[in-house]
Amino acid sequence: MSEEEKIRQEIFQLVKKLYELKFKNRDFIPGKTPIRYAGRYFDENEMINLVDASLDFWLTAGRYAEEFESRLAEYFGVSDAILVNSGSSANLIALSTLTSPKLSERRLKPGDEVITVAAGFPSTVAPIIQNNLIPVFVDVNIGTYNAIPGQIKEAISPKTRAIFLAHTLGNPFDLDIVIDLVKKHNLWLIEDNCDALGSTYRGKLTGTFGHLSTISFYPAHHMTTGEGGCVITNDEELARIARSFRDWGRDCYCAPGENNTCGKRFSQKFGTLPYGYDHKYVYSHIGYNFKITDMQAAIGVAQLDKLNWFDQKRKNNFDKLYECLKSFGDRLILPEATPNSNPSWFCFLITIRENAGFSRNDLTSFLEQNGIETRNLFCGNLIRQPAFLNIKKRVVRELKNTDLIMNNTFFIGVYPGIDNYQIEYALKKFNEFFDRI
Amino acid sequence: MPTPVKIPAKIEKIVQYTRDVKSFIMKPLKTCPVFKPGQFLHLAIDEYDPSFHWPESRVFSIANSPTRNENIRIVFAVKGIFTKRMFDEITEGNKVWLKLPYGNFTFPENDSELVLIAGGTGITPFISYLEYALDKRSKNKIYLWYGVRSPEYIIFRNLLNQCQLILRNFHFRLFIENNIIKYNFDNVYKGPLSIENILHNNSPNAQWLYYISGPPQMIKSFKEIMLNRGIKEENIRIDEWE
Repeated sequence: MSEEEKIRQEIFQLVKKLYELKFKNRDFIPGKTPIRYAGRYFDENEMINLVDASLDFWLTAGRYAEEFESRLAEYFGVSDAILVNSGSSANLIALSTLTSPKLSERRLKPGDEVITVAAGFPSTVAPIIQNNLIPVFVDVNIGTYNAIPGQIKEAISPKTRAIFLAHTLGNPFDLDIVIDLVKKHNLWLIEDNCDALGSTYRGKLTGTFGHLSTISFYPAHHMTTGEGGCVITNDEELARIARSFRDWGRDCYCAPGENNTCGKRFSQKFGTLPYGYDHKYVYSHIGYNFKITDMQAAIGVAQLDKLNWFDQKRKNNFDKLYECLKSFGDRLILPEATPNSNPSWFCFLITIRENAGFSRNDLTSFLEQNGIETRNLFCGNLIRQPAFLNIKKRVVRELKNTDLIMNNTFFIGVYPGIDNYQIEYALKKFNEFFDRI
Repeated sequence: MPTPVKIPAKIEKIVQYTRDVKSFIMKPLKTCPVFKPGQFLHLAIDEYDPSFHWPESRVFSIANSPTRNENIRIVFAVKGIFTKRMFDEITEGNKVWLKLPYGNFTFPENDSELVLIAGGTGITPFISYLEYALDKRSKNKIYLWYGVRSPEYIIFRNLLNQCQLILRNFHFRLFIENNIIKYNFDNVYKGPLSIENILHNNSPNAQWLYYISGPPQMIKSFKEIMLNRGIKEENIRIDEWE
């Protein structure tokens, strides 16, 4: 073992000791320790990887980013995983990719329509607007919280070029119908898979059905790198364009700190630049800098080892909540998996029935007072949000269910950090609430 | 193109073909990333430390099929200081660093008809493809035009023989500039590889995909002539490096 390796091992031992001292086996004190709706779940391996990457002091994407991208691509069984600095950036990169002039007539052009929903997170819709495209909103089903398939069909016009939908909070949208429409009308499909890592539809992972899909590694998500995200595709042309948009829009695909990996750095002609202009500084897109650091990727590598366990734990927590809360089905609408799917739930969604005799805020205030965190289904109805009031858009029918979600829906957590004691405590508090009303 | 990955590899075997051409057969010491026939890699002689920049390296076509990836093979000729170091300093058992995969000089998965044109060690990406075609029992119509300076520069003879025996739609012509001796090939000609000759036999046809690999001057002149003869640019693939 080299001197450097010995020092690293000593540091790793100390990191492990610190993990055990500070983070391991933290007690749950009912009513005092909050039950979070989501959170990071990790052990000493994430911390050791993080320290290992920091000791390399390479800082930008390096060996861990390489490994993380390769393993993510392998997990999905696709050619490319492109790490970015957030799930929202992944959405922006995915949609921007489809506007590339490299796609010739297939590219999305300003004014083209993209079908989506208003009951979700803003960064699914924002890239549509940022790229001067027109979002077309359809309503969602209560229970699955996904787009109503009949309305997607109804929304298609001669201007429709793409569908961009999230698998709402882990629950896959109806991929049979969506894929059928994509093929029939020659549309692009982007799956916002940020909240659904590990979910399957007909036994196949969500995120592998569309031309592009996205993942988020924010701490609230299925696995984390702190900040971070990823674009997934099995199309190498789209992957190269996505990398270009991520890396300032440059044409060159060299990794940070590398030169001339294509072997043609000074022997190509682009635009009206002189022949042989340094390829490293040739820009084929109006791009961004959304790269990830190696420290983030190092955490991701350790998290990926736990992903299957995370998914199982989420499903188990969901099942326990469902089993007990179904007795309140006359007042609560409980979540239902889309037919043919096996969701890796982000959370446990609940909608208060309109004749329940209490409001959402009555229940969420009670839960919050008892240390059980709740969240609304993000935007509620996005087009009622101040930033989206005046956007160019088309709305298919009324978004009645979306409005119901805005008023009556909330969720609680199922993340792996929630153990049986916490689930039991939460259920006890639900019972108390219903005893009181 | 998937993320290129850096892996250490051990030199398992070195084969010397001529006074200035060798091949390295290298065993990856970490999982070898997925690559496609026709792609290339970077090889570094000096140690790679992830805390610092990737050391000086050169690009080489991967001269084996991804279906045979337990080892990675490259073929190189001495052309400068780096390849001279490779030729003189590297011995069996040494460790080198590889970074792969790169490049879009890859072969179609569909049943396109292919004209492969190789000058000298430019045969290497086609070796990857021919091994792949053998392993997949490809039915693609393949014409290989291969030109070398003199007989000792003919490499992978056994593989070419095997392709002739096994691949029903494989056609092959060998051109030797300086000499001619008896080989097991049906079509061995004396003289340089000529694009006129190639186009006379594989006349421009929308069905054909033309792949050119070899010295830069050969690639440039062949491509120009092909474009002048009306072959569409998208039907011409070149393996071009600086």
